[in-house]
Amino acid sequence: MDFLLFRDGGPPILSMIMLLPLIGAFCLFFVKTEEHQKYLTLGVSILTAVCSLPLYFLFDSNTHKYQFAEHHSWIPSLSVHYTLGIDGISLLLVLMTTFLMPLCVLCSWRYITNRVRTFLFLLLLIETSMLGVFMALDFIFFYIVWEATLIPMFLLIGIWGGDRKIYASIKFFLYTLAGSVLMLVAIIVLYFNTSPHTFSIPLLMGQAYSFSFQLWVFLAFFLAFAIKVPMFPFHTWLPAAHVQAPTAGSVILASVLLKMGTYGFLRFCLPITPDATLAFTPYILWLSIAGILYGGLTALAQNDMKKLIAYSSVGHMGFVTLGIFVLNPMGMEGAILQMINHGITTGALFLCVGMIYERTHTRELALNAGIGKHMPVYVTFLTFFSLSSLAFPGTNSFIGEFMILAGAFTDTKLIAACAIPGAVLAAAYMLRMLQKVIWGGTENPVHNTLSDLNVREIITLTPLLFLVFWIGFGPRPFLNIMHVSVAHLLEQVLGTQMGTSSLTAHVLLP
Amino acid sequence: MEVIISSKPLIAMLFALTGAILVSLSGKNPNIREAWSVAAASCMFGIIVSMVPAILDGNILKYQVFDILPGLSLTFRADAFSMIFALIASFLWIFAAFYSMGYMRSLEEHAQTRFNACFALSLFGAMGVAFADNLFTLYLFYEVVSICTYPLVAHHQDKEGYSGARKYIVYLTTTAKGLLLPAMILIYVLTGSLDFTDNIHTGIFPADVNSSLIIILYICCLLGFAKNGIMPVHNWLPGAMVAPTPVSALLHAVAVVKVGVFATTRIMLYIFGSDMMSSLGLGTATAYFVSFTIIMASVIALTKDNLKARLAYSTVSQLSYIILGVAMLTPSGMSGGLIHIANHAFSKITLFFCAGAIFVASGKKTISEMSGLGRTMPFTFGAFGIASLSMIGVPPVAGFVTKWKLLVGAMEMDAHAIVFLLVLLSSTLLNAAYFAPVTYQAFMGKHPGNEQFDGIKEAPLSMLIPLLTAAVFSVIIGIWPDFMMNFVNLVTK
Amino acid sequence: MNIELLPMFPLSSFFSMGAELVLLTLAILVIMLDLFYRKKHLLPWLVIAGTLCSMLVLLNTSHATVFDKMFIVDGYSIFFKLTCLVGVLFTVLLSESYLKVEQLHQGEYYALLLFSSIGMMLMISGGDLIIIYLGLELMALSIYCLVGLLKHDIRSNEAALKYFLTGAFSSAILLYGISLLYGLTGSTELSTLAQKSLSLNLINNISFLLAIGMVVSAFCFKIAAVPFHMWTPDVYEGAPSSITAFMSVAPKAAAFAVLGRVLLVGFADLHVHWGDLLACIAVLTMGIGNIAAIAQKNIKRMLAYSSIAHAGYALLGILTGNSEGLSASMNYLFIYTFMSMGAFAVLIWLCDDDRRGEQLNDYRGLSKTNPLIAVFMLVFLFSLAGLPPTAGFIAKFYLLFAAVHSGYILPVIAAVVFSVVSAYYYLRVVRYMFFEEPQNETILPMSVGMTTALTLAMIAMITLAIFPSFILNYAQKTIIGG
Repeated sequence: MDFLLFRDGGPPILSMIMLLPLIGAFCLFFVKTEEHQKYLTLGVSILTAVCSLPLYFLFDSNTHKYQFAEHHSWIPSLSVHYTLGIDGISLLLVLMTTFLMPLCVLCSWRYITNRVRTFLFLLLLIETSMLGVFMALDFIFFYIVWEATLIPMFLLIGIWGGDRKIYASIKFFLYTLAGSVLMLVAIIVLYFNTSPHTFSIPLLMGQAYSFSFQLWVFLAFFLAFAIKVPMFPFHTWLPAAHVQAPTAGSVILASVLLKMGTYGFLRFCLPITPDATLAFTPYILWLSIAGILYGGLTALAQNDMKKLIAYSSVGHMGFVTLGIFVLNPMGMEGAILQMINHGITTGALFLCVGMIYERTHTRELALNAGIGKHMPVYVTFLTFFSLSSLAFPGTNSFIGEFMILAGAFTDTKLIAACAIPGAVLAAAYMLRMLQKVIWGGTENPVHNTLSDLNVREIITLTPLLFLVFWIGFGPRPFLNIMHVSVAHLLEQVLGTQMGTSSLTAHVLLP
Repeated sequence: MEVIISSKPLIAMLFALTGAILVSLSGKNPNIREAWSVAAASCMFGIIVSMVPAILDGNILKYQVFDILPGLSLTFRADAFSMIFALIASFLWIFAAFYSMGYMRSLEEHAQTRFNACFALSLFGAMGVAFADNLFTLYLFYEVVSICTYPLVAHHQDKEGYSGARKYIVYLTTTAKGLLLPAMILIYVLTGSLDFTDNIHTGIFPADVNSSLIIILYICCLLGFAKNGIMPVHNWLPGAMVAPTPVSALLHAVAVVKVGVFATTRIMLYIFGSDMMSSLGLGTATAYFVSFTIIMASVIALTKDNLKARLAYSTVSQLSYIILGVAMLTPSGMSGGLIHIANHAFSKITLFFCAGAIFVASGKKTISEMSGLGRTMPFTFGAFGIASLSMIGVPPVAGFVTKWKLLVGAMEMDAHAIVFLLVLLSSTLLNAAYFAPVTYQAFMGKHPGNEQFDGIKEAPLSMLIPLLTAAVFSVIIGIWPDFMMNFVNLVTK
Repeated sequence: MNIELLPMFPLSSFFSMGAELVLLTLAILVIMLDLFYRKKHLLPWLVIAGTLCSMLVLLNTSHATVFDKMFIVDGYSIFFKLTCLVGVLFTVLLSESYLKVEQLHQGEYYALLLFSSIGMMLMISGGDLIIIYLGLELMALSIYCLVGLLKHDIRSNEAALKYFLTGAFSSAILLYGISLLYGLTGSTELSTLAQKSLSLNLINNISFLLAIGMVVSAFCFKIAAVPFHMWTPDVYEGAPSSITAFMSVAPKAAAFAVLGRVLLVGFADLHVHWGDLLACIAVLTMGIGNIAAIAQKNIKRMLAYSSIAHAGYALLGILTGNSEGLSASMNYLFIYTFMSMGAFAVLIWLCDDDRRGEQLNDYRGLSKTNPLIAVFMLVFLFSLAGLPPTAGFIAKFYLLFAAVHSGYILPVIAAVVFSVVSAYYYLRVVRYMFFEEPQNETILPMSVGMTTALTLAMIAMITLAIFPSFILNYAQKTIIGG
């Protein structure tokens, strides 16, 4: 267990962060009024966020080992353990999750009017499982929390969703479930092919599995993660789910759940099955390109704001997978950063759409045209987030996309060049949306009664805007965290090739 | 030459940004709002002027704001090259602020607050381009200009405005994202840095870089900065002329297109370097390429009856002079090109101011309608005449200096000199052919359809004074070009 | 009674049957009380007390093989008996209110229930095919009657008759198999059979294999494995709901216990023959059970098919032919008892004068009218689907784990794929409960039995999900010879 770094003394901080929302969720049943329930949920989520702050400050970015580790036996007869720990890759995702949740609560303040308690309960429940996904170091525990995100999200979409909520929720559920069941088989097969038999994720890495075995395991993993990401052509559940979900659901879905897929690639596919990864890399790169272009083109054709952003997610996640599978430090760090960026930006965009939906009860671009005149503060926020989404220089996504493309250009110029139209398309569909929303064609008399953002909504969006520019201009603190972990990961995948292959090594690595 | 750490470039830009914020906050009171515009413009000009002595001593002012990635930072620099653009743009903003006040109020345009705020933001972007110390900063502010001028182009919010604005934004963002972005990333991958050099000859590329890759990069950059109006990426410019005239005046004669040209030349000299340009033959190729634009745009301008459209194509043609001059890679050629940034700015803004004044005073847009109007509006057309002389390149107006330098530069070339001499001469003839008739007809021509220009008088003073001053300045810098030439010489030495 | 007649069996042998004897006494007591005692509403509580008592006795019974190896008390049998008794306990709890709705006679109902459980326990403990057969018949006959208790319901009549006919048919097959085995080896005792099959070199003997096939088929009939599942949907649908719940759990567990014992003790050396055969049966069972369940409009029928599918899952453990797989199956059946009983509890709770909890519409908007029940049902259904983080997942995981360990990858892949299919029809119920608006706002009363049943099932679900190792260890320890 030398890959785990335990902290002597002090509380089990990861468990605390993970279980706080769960405890909070059950506390909800002792609170009577809806107003108090909301405040309780907000308080719990903020408390979780505050508790997760020490992770950042106490994190040692000079080691790739898993820190703040906790290791307990859980089901000894099946050698299943309760092992938690985070490294440079998961730390940011954990922080992002904890920081987004209070915003999700805030954005639902007025949006959710029926069954408030259940809603808040599910929000907290899903937070626990999402945090578990990013912290788990035991494969079975990982699988459990991975799947556990499904049920709350299914209910979130199904109960508070739009007109086609039933279709969307069931599609979401079955699609993602179908993807991940084979992963379970792969996990068990891995267990028996490792000696000593283990479910410990770090121990499963770097084993000398045969190539054909790796291929099968990789495929099983790939299916699960590719559906979650979602990569083209496994993306069809996403627009449906996004469009129908309530705002908070969309935000969680876009910001965190999709990241679980790419996180899966980084944590499992690459280090556990490195040979298969190398074998499949070209195909995955092309799939990423297909996703980027397809997402962009489809987004361009949408008239529903949420659908537009949903398809843009397909494109953005294509960039992330592209960055991961170019397999060099630049691309991979860019991809991880872009995961965070996408969480911030797309989350914010969904929040924005939710705010307008609360007012006009429609997400049609045409019907929301020209609200800029009545809601200047709103469109200012929307503009900044849209610009961030199209990777405007100076915003967070630009840095991510820049690094991904720089990584891609380092090794595979052709593929990188093919991704460029995706970047152009991003500008096209985002500016199109902005143009319509801010200016529109006609004066809509319904809009005369629109009120601009209130304080709560501004508070919801401001932290995200701050992050957009923080990462846009000062991504170093974020990148520093992941340097060593990414280098270690690439070493695991590429073996000895590291350090000689890429020019970016001297650019980014000390 | 030494590098001085100074935040002045940043402060200059922040004046524009603050101005934009203050303008948008004081939308209720037009007088205060306009006062902010003027104040921001004046302050910005003041701080830029205050940098002049240090620059003239051969120093560079630098200020790093954010260190983003290794070799990638948000850094500003003020050197002679940036001063050419920054001085002109900030100076003319003061004029434009007054002029647009008169124009917008006379026509009782809507959304003036937005207009003024975006105007200031565009200047913010333009200054950012001028003071950029690396390709990233340049790209960032280049895009800021694109985004912030969009509302200005689409200002009328009618069908024509939207389609013009759409063309505008599609051209500019597509080229910037599709060509510039990959080029920038490739440069970063190849060199590990995006910083401009201090030496215009060496460039930043290591010697062993694949030359075909360099050529591809160069083409991407040349066409990527579509604001420079080179054919075939020029089409947005005539389309954008649907904007209110002050916008056309400042932005499409000074800020936006100059941002494009400035960026192009900045890249040519400070990223690729004149040595590599000439060794790969890129200079000559570019010169041929833009020569085509010079001639074609002039020919198209001849066919336009709409005054602003004619001016737009004239701009396309004139911008290519600048690039042509730099692409010659000879000292005089470069000087001619760079000084034309200033000369063209003063003359073209006069022309657009005049066009706006004519529209405000008479509501006329086409040249054929203006026949005989000069007798009713002598000041305006007088200024127009002076500025067109500058465009043609007649002494003693500013344009002559350019033409002279360019001709000398062409002759200094080892080969192809005769071609570019011919290009310059024929384009001068074409310039004369499309500019001279306008003034001539205005003063000498008959009223179309015997219509009497009853009730038409000169535009309001807030418009007239800026346009006359600009015309005067065109003459002044034609007679005494030394001030601007100092900067140009610092660059080319 | 003349003790001399039973010289071989010391009186202490009967201590090994303590739990069965308690139940027998209880059954007779119930019949008596039904005749003479007025306060019939106390009957179920008496049965519950008796069952608990029997459980206590069971847990304190020492391991022994008595009655000339005919009756075996070991950890294995105790585990399965416990599972069955839990099933009985739940059934009684559910029946308390249900019988009133259906206006059934209590005495005969409980007595038959108890007799059938005695039959099961005999089966489970049987070390000889004859005893197993006797137990099986005792169980089956009682259940035939129970299925037909709704005398005025034509579906119930049909179900009883159908069950009886097919059941008799399967018994005949079993008997035929047993007689063939006896003819070939001269014994019906399982360990002797195992020895003889080796010593007489019968492993590739066609008639021996045929005999085994018959025996296995008969048990497959009881566990409703494809292709012997045809009776299940109709019988489950027609039977009183509480009996359906009972049948989905207890007889199935008993049949599994026997199957496990017969295959692993009697024919362990023939694993090459029956391993792959059972794998095919398991895949077919999971497939047909799950796919057919999708098409069902009636919840009881849906649960019937789902229980077929679950038999397929449970077979995954047995087909490995080793103790790990067997303990996985045991564990699965134990956890399955709680989730299935929980789901049926909700179904029965929804029975009132004008509905039977069988239609999807009965569940419409349940989360609004009775949020707690809806949440319970949600947990039971997701658990049945085997989704994390429910106890059903742990159960299924262990099964897959064991099957993979023995190299049965393809059946495992089929199992997980079909579990996705199953998620679809479970989700449908969830959808009606949570996503639809309620039709009528009536809040149904909760009887004490129902409350207890639901609470117990829920507590078990939670406990087994969070601390599964307790039951896993127990199942592993109790394996034959372990």
